[in-house]
Amino acid sequence: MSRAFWTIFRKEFGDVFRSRYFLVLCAALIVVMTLSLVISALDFHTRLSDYQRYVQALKQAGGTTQEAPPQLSPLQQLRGSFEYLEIIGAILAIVIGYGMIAKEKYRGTLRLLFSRPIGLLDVAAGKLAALALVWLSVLALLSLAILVTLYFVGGAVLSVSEIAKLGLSMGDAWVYLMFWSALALGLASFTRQPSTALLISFVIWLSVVLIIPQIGDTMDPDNQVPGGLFQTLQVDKAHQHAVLEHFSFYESTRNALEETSISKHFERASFAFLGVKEMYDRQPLAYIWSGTWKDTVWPLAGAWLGTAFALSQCNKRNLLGRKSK
Amino acid sequence: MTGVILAVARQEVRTARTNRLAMLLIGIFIGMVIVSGFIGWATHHTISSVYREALREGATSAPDPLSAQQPLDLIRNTVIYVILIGALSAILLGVRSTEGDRKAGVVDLIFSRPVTSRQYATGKLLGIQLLTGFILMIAALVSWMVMLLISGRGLSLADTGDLMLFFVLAWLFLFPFSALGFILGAISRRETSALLVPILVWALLVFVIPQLGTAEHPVSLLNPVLARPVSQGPFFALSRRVLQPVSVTDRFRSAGAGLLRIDGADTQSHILDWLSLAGIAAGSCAAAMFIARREIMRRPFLE
Repeated sequence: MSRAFWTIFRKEFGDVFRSRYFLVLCAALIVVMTLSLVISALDFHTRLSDYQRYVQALKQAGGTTQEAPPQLSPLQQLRGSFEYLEIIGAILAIVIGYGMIAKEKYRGTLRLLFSRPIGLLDVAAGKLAALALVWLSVLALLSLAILVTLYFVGGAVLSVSEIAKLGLSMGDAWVYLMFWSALALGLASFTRQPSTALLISFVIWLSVVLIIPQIGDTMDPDNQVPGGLFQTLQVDKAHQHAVLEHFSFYESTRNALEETSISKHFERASFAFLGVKEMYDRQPLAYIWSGTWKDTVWPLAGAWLGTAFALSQCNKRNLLGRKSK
Repeated sequence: MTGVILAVARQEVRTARTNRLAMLLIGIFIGMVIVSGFIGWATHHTISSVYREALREGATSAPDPLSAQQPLDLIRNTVIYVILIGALSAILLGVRSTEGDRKAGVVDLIFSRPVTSRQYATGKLLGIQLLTGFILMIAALVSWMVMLLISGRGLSLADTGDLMLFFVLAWLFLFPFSALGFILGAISRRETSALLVPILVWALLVFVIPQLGTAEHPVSLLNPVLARPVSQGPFFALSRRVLQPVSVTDRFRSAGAGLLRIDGADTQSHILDWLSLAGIAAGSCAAAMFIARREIMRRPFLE
């Protein structure tokens, strides 16, 4: 790596942590993620108390219950937090990626930068490497905030295996957030007006993060009857599978639609590691990986494509050729 | 006075029509309104088939879960698309309205004429509301036609009335978002913050506040039917009491679901939801008129 690369990398990394937008958004993300964790814990305690009252009432009436008490592992409480990472984290990623180019365009520093003898990819690679380290730092901070909140609110100390699963979920988050930052960086380099890039990024974000998964969710028959279709019909698991086999085309179409969204892949992979999806709860890592490796590979491919797009757009010809209005 | 306001409003509608990104979002919104009907129909059809299959295999003896479903329930997803795409489009229209004039430097020119900042803001907001009203009218018409196409017969007069009322409700719901965009476009020194702050407020209203009152997960809030009953703990009851009056999305979702008679929704009168949305709409427009003053609007952009 050239000296120019390291200089740009250091400057960008420092700039991000001096940016007001970044600090405010990062603080907002940490607050909503920990708040979600607290809400999840409070909700669990409410449900547990309801259950205990119900058992007590039954006991006084001389009856017993077959119903098991509500169970929740500490990692499952992170579901809402990871959903915020999926939605608000992506906004933060877009703003940081876009900001790296927008500031140069608004300040008019690009011509100065490219008047020096720097390599073709030094600027892009320096900025992308800084983004990678920024996200690593943010996610490390988030993990720490999560561990502390879990300890103080839920009274939970994670086992080594649980910490490894949390680490892998955060790894998936790193890939996912790099995709959004690289995409926004590439778009900000590509468009003449940086704000147009910000808007296009938000339109893509809206479609990929919210609309496509929303359509997939609402096409799920089980989600469209209050309390769940199969629970309302009192159909057991075995019969559920037998019945759904007749609707494989509908289910494959729904699944194919969801698979076009990188957010859905991130969600599936992280929910598997966190045990939110019941079949992966408290299972060994090898088992989870064998069932969900595709959901890690797709975001990885997306992040590589985003990075390649950013590298191809963030160069002298594009940045100086398309002057900002 | 009226002449000035109408001239500003007319110009606002003309300018907004040339805003390609706002038009793209509006196009996506109308497209999703069309898709919403077909998604509703496909899901409805599948649920009925699943029920018949379960019945045939002897796996259930429960009554048909869709037996009481109303025709308007088929476009239930429109509630969510108004919250997602409609609100973001309204924000964009609002931001671009004031920001565009400030960037083009026409604010000085306008205020060199006998125009007060209140007239200017009223005209601008009127233009935006006329445009969003027109778009929602198209969406209502499109929804009606989609229902006709799906069911093979038009909606009854009562259902048509409820459909129209739903889009009037949506119009009220979008007021605060366009006003918020308008305010940020008027006061921000940077384009990034003009866009980003309203989007963050939107995320707070759509995800965080409803979660505080229901304990529902953020993504589940994008489903018109809540996945599970609302949590009844003291914290959530208190949150609901404190936050519900300002939670525009909760109000809109609840009244909208009632009007479309979405399965499991409370079909009681939603007069309080209507009043709350109307109050927030009026308050936000008043705030926009108060904040977008001449001296604030004339401040230059830093980027």
